[in-house]
Amino acid sequence: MLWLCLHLPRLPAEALGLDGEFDVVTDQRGASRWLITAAPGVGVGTPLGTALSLQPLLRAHARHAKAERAMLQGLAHTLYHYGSPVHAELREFDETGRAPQALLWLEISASLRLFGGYLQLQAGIEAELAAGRHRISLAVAPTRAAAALFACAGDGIRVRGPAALARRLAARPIRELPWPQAQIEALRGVGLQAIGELRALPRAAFARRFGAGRLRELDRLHGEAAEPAVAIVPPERFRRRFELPGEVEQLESLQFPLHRLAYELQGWLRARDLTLRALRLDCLHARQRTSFTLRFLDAHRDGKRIFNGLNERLGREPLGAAVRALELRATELGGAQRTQSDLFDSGGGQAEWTAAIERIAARLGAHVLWTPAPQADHRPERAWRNDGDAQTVSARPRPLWLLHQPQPLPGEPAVDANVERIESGWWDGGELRRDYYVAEWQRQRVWVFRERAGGRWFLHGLWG
Amino acid sequence: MSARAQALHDLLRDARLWRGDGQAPLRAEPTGHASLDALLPGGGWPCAALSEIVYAAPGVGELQLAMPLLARLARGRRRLAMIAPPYVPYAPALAQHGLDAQALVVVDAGRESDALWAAEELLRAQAGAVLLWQDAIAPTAQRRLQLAAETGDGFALVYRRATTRDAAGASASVASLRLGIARERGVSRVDVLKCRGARPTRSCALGA
Repeated sequence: MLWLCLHLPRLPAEALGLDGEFDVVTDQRGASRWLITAAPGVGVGTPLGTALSLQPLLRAHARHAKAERAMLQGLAHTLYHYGSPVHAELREFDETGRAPQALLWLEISASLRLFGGYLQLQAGIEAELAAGRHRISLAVAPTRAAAALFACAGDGIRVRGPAALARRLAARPIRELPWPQAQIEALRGVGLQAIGELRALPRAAFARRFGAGRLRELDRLHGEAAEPAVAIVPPERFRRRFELPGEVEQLESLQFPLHRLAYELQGWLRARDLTLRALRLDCLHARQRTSFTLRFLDAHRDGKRIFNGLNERLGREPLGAAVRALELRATELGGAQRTQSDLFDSGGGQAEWTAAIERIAARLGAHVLWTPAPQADHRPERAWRNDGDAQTVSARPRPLWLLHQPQPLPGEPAVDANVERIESGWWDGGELRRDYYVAEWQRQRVWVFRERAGGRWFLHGLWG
Repeated sequence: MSARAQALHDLLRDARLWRGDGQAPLRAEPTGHASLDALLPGGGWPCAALSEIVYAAPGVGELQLAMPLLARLARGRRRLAMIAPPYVPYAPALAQHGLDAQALVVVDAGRESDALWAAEELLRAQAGAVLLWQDAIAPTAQRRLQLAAETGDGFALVYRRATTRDAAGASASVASLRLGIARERGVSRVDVLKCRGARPTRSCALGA
């Protein structure tokens, strides 16, 4: 096994959508509040009071553990195709002054060859996460525990063999172990500084004094005990909520959350090997919600296209009320993506065309776009349809323009003798009995008819 | 060929030289109407450019003017768009003109600014031809369409209803080609109002 571990030191801030330099997130136990993300001049674990006296510009936000967990899940889905299995853990410490550790693990021994080496893999993951503006630190080790320890230490350590692992671990200070502070202090109190020194202690005595659990953790660190955990499997359906830090009335302020949701959806689609046809975005206001649906011309899994579509759709009309949260769900999914190339089509701008049509549909509404197609019906107004699915055509000449509704003519036009009698539709209630003529009328070439019952003249088409 | 004759020959081939009765080399696509092609420089619709069609009223044959071009583009797998047409483009008639309507997208844009925006988007997305119906079109908007047509290498055809000012020949246009079409005594007549690279003010009958 070879585990790549990602530690996300700023996940609490990222989950709240904060990216200001002086925005910090705090955790709370009873009356004490402390920082779990760092800011210039103040480190993680500083009590909030102290931090504010050092850096008065700080804006403190309470952490939202649920959002952090959801974001970690989303990231696990995004990275799903880089390795398997994938594990995620939000390590919480039941002590004041400690920050949670957001960790993701990917088993990469199989994918190293696929991606052509570690550096390519790392570049791919970094590019993937750069879109969501996540801060990460990476480490590689043969055990999950050791990879996490290295990643949290933030040194970018890469270890492959067990011997190198033991050597590297031996030198790490014991305060990097994810253990309670009191225990670490006790160990340091007896003069133990590095993990190597812990390993050198007699096992039975260590277990008696610090608990068998700690001994097992040391064994797991070195790959001498199993590391059972449940791997992440992407859920059946995609439904993600983004809580905004405050009420938002400007579309510009929604760009960042929309971007993140779009790319989370892309990650989920990739992980499940699906494509997207339609989605629904709900803007949650104080009391009600506004729903937008977005349909794509063809099934795809492109985060940028999802983001652009959402952006155009929201830009169509002003947001009615202040938005508190966004909820995105995939409503219609397609099968796996096949890259198909047409033998004759050189692909001449298919992607650009699709993107342009989708932008128009998003901004002006999908109903404004249609493709005419003939339909086999003798009645002129039913001989076309707007879904682009062609049927057979009448052999008689037809005008290029058809009026939506036949217009009554004030007088009798000068018609030629060539009459076309159309009597049809008695079976479905749309009965008509008309004599159609081609005529010259007011310097236009027109298509007119006389109702056989009543004898009135109507204009129905124009030879455009 | 002597050096002198060669120099003259080169000079005559230079696109910057405009000769009163001659035709400058111009990339164009036949309109499909032989009598009209004969009047146009390059023998047809100018490629990657804006052309304007000033029609007296709907039903004078204004759309038939473009049908051969549209049909040919559709056969060449180029995509077509009609933006804000005044009536329903009637599918059976399109098929009779040899146009595979699958290639065609109609955009019923309500506002003029939306129609212009859609036309520009589609031209930039490499549409074969975009037909836009808009009566009052500002020169800046025309220039934007012209640029979009150049970018996407497509035909931009703007349909504009004739006004009394057109009769006086007073309204300005940046279009490379400007045709007027009207119907008299059962015959559609096309006037070449303006064309880049040749002398305008000639007319012919459509389908003659």
